[in-house]
Amino acid sequence: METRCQALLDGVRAYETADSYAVRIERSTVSFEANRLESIRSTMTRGSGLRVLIDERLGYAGGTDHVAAESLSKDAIELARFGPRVTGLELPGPGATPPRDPPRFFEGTAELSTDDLAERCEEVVDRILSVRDDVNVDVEATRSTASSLLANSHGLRYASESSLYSLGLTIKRSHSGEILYCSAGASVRDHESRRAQPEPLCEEALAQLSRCDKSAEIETGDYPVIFTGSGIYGLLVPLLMGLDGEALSKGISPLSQDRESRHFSPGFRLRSDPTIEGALANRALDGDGLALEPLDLVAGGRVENGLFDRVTAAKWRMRFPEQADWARSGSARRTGFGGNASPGHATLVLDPGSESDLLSGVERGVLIERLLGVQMGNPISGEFSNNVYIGHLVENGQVVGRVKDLMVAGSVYEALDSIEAIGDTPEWVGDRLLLPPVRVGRLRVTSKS
Amino acid sequence: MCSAIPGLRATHRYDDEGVPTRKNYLLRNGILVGRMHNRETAGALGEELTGNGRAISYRHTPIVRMTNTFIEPGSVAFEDMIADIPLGLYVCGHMGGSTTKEQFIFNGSYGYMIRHGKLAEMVRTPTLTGNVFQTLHDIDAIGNDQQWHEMGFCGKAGQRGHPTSKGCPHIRVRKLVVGGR
Repeated sequence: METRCQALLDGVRAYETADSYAVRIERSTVSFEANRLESIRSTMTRGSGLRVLIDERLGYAGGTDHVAAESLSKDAIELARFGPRVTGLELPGPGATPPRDPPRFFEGTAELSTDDLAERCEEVVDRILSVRDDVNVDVEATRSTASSLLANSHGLRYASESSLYSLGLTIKRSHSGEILYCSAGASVRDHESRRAQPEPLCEEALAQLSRCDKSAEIETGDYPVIFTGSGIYGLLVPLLMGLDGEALSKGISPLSQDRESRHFSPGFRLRSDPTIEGALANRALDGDGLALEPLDLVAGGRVENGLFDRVTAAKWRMRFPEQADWARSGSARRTGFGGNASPGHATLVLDPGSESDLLSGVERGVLIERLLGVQMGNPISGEFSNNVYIGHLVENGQVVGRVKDLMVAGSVYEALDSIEAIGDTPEWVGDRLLLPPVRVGRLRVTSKS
Repeated sequence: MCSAIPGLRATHRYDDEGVPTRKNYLLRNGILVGRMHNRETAGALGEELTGNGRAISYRHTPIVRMTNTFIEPGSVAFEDMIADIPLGLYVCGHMGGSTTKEQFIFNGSYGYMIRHGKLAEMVRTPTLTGNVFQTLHDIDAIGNDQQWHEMGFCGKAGQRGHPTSKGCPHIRVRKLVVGGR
């Protein structure tokens, strides 16, 4: 990869600002569908990308290693004529000491065979079917390893190696016209991590399923709403879109101009944290080569920071020179060689509160585990209107039964300013979110009843 | 569903398993009469091949995917369709959608209130949700027109971006949950 990255940089050595990125990924996935082995897939991908700044315009070209380095360099130079205008873009140098990742590579995980993965899948299927005989189970287990190198024209070299193990399952129940999916999953660097074991994942999905065994009805109205960690993510999506450096620097985020007027409940603290133990997002440098550090996004009831990489921070300074200092870069993510770095968070952490039981004291309300239709419509405005895919009627502090054909709607900014309580136990939601349950005072719930 | 209508985004003569494409009826007169298949699922269920095996690239195996999907026109003029509605919603276009096979949700691009059989004020991005099967059952009028929508993709099992198209006349549904504050 060193040779490839250097060859790409050599092709644009006439220009002062450039970086190249090479990645190699090996992945094996075993999938079970409806309780049976469906497929075993193995792939290997090698590729690289190059970006170069020419006359304040940014060019990017990427491709697999079958594309000659000279060709990619030529493409990047040519594309810079049509690329976004960026002034004041600076890339970091090598620093005093070489960047050092936290533990991201585990030999045992890298050596997992497809037989090992299939065994894990079988264990999940057997465990679920031993408890419930009225369901089908889909399971997918993945093992991958990745090596990457980021190099730039200022002498930075950042090599990283990682392993990944994922186990995900979906219990499918279909009867009387109802199709219900209950899911659980985890992705970890070390396959021995507790939260990616079949047992806790099966328990989580089975508990979700058993909560849906009883049904209930609720009338249209305004109710207190309790979101689990998975549920509250639906409300955070519009906020995160508003905090994205690209939207901020283009002026299309509602937080570009009037973030001072946006207020959040005092206990609501949202941050991007690359130091959470065992998290996938932990690494030494971001996609631009800057040191990854914890970043408060919302704290003390106000927006503190947006998510900027070097390019969007430069764009922000161009568009809002009077607020030039607000954009703090260091949140660049690269998801492969097919596209440029873009803003993204490390592990997104919502700080837990002190309440152990958010249902307590709720006379009549709704508990939301999963929303359907997140990111639909025009979420950047903060307005949301989602189907409650897995939700429950709560009466006198107790879950009564699952409610369906239900929508919850409102303004994210108003909802996050009317938080009554935050739970004391965060849960992992996907790979990059650590979120506790949250109770919002009142939200409009529309039902068929 | 038909892959042979000239000029549409999902039109092709053979699917990605070499099976000739054809017109497949999925629902007819309110009854499920057909399914989409690739070679694997047709073999498993002992049914005819339908030409729906599609792979997004060499990195994936062909899976069952839709092509040009449409509802055939009925006989009701749009004006007649809304004439007897005292209070309703006319939803135009769509901005994405999501389903869990039973429940669905989608945003209309825009819409109009229907008041006393006439189109009234415009409304912003109405959001609709419901049960797929119940909603199809609740269709009580199908228009005599048809529009093709040449945007959209089909994605599942890690394969995103299969070009698809869809066509539909105006349809009237008796009752749906409409979101918003």
